Amino acid sequence: MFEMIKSDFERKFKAFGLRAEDQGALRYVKLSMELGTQAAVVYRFCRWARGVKIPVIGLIIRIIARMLHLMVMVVAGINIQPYSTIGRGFAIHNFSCIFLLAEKIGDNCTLNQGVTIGNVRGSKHPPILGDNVYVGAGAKILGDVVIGSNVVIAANSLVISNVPDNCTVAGVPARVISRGADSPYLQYTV
Amino acid sequence: MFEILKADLGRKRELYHHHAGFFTRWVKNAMDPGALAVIVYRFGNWGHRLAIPGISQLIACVYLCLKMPIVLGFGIYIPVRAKIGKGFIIHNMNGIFISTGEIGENCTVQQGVTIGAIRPNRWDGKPRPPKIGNNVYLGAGAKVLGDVTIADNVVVGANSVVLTDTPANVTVMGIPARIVSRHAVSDRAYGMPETKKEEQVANS
Repeated sequence: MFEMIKSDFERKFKAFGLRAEDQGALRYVKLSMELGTQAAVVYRFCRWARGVKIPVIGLIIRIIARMLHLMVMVVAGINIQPYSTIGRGFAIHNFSCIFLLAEKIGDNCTLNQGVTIGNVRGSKHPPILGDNVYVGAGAKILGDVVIGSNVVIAANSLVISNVPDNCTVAGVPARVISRGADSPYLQYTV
Repeated sequence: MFEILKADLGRKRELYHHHAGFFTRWVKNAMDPGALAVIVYRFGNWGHRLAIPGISQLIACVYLCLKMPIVLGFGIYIPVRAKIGKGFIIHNMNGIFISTGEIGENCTVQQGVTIGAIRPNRWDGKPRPPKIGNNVYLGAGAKVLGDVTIADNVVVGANSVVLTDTPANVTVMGIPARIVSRHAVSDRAYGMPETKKEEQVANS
């Protein structure tokens, strides 16, 4: 759990929201004040708490995890279901209206506000995302879709079919609009 | 009020929890953010419809205390004057704004849905909110704006913007919303079945 949290922080150090002059402990402090980072840390804790096997202490840890999850949901509006498996370097950019239930997300994923990743009635599994996916604001990824690696999902798009590697998709429903995903968002990897 | 609440929570229980155990069906069903918002709205609406001079104000005070944490914490805003039919389900939370229009029975609202009135022009005072029929499913991020009438049995796909009237028994999607299917299978309503090219061309 701590390696994952460290990788999340390291990814945010590289790219998001810090100036060059902030060094040392100030970077950790500034990033911990962001609601997106707090939600990611709470998700890592909830995910770890799911696997704790000790009988009584495990129950207490799970209750604490549940309460933290509810607090983040109410304060930040970010609801990351612990069922999801999320890789390293997970960055949530803003807050509010984020709902995340995915089968598997790879490394270096970036989420913006208003993103819904979920399953629907009749889909076999929740979405599967590859590495280095940038999900723009307001994007909705629904159903049993498989999204490849190095993909940029533009803002306000609706992804309901599979997306190959190395492309940019946009629109409702999402269509591939570019076969090069050399967008600056994908450079910052852990 | 209690019959309407029973219809709301009962519909939510049937649709989402019919396989689950007792605790989920009776306790967790009423405790998630959407259900709490609906309960508070029904309470406020009942007090508003009561129209007895002293008691209505008292109920309005209690309702305001309950409404503030729902609006701030959950991001769900339902005004008291909205007329919403039985069986209303709010699925997730955040980003939901419903204005004082009319909504029919058995409506399902997902996160990020805005049902808003547009002021027609700057000098005309009254905004005209949408009218929504029965059995309508509003997908995540759907926005229904203006003086729009949505008929019965309509599925509004995720992330669409509905600006014109919609006939009955269709599925609409896109910005601006176009008819993509003459089925409206609301149980699987997420994105749309295969688009029918002729309909898209005919409606564009």
